[in-house]
Amino acid sequence: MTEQTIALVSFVLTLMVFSYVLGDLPLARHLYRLAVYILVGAAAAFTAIVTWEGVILPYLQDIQNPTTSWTLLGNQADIVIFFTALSFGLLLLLKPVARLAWLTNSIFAVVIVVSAATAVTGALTGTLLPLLHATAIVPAGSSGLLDAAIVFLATATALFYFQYQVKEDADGEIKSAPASRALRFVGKAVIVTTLGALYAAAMLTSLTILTERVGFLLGFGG
Amino acid sequence: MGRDFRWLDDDDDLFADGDDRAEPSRPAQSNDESSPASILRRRQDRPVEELDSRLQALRAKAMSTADPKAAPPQTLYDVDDVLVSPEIARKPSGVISAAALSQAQKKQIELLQDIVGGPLEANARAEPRRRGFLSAFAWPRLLAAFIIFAAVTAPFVLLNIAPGDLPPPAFGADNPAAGRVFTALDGLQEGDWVLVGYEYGPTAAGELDVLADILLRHLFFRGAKPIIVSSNPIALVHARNVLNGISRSVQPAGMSLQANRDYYLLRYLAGGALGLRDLSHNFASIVNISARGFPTYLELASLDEMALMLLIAERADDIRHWAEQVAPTTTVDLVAATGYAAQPLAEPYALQSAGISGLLVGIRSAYTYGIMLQSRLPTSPGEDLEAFDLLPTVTPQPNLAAYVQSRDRRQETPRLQAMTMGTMAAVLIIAFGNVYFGLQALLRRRTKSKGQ
Repeated sequence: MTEQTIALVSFVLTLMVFSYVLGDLPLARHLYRLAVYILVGAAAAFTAIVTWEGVILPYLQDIQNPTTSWTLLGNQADIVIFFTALSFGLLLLLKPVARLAWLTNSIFAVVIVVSAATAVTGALTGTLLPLLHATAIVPAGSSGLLDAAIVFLATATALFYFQYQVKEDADGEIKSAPASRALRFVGKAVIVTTLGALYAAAMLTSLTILTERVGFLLGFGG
Repeated sequence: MGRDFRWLDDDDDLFADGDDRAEPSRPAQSNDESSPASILRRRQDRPVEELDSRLQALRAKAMSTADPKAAPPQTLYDVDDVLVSPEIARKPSGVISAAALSQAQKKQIELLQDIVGGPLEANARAEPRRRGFLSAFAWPRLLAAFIIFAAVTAPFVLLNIAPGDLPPPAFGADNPAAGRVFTALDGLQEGDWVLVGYEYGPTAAGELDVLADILLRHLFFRGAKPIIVSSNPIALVHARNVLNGISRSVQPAGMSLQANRDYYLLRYLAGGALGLRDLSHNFASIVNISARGFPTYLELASLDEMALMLLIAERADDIRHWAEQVAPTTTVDLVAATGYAAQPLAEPYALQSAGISGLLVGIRSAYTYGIMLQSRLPTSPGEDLEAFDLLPTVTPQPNLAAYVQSRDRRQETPRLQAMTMGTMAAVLIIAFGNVYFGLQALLRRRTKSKGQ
């Protein structure tokens, strides 16, 4: 019975989402929005519950028991970390008070600096160096060399596309150099092709999801 | 609104029609009078009225964005990614893109629009007006949706439609990254620990549930014990649903899955990339708490005790985060499964094993994977797979075959055919749209040149 109810609700919600294709009709517009609001509301509620249940509550229980430790630093350190995090959170609530903005911004600064440091370290060890290493290895054979040349040309011209350099000639006319224009044109083509491919890939994903929903709708009640 | 405006087009000789008078009241800010900045300072802006409608619309948009009274949209740190964009409330026309495309994808589309020229002219013309009932339909959108919907529906209702070929029965030399995923999972021994990164929620379930289901079944079939973590709180809830579905499917065989025995669902990793870094360095403490906040009593000191790491991710960013924050901190192999949307950005990590040693993409890979997994059953003939060097191996426990046998495969083939039909319809619509709007632009340009 429960499964049938869930299937029925899913069926109705799917139809509500599909009503978007009907355009700007009053009922269709509201049905679609209602479905999306339900998704947003449910997601927010689940986020709150999961965070409370899986993160905050266990930590609270941990610091009350001297024999347990959430981190590898021991229970005393856990207590210090908890109250530091709590005070940071409370200070963030002062954001609407303009005179105390420096305090809130200081907290944000800590968060941003730590995030940036983590991201940069990870990007270096996890993306930049491994991909550099992988790109530097040219596979044997003429096709491998051609691939490497294309990768280099595409990367260089795409980066060059974002360079805006002009110079003034003797007549006072301002132009970019022909070579610069040519490189930027190639870079533009590379970027457009890449983004087009990404968009096509996103469409494939949408079609995959659509097939699943269509299969569900057609199989409903059967 | 009386301010002058200067538009910089990056390709043309932009400054040829301008006046070169320097501003006498402005002090010199640079000794290098030939520098671009100096040249730009000496330019006089054109009046707004001289701009064409597209540029005026762009300017109006920029001015409205710069309005200090307009409150910026509030975003929730780390929560925003799992929710639909807050723009829904104030931008009805962007609802579909908000629900279907990630923030990164929307930025890519905006960049593409900037480069090739976006729908700014159309937006400028779109003024609110009262419309009748029939004209309220978005006819082009309705027609395109109908064509795609009909194409996708046909394989489900008509048995004779079978366009294109089905995916091969095994991963060949053209897809070595997918083959490495199967080999990695198939090499697991009974009791091996596998860390599973479950990084997708309900919005990607239509695509990734198939992959997650088959990969988890393969783990259970091999007798491995998955430890599931996620930096997406909704994904944990969804993972529980998928595991319950697998458990229900094997009940007729007298089996069931039990949390903290057959699998472990760990607590939510708050903080995105920071949470993943925390997982790498404080693994021992993180595996101690389940998603429901209870102790798991797992005694695992580090990631190195895992036999394998498996990531099922919706977004390329999640794959990047795992490749950056988790993979470099351990010697354990990381294999990944993702959808088509994330494939182009995920492949560089997998093609040269730069962080990820294997990659499985989309429903077509799931189909092939399913056939290969089926070949592992003791009762499978396997003769078709000899060419792929995939002869059946010994199953750790014969009763675990139920995890593979109970898989629902009824919709596999119709979905693949529907994908092919839908793709064909989409390509036709895009081609028609390109021709139609290309001709329209040519006609407009010709009319404009005649008018001058």
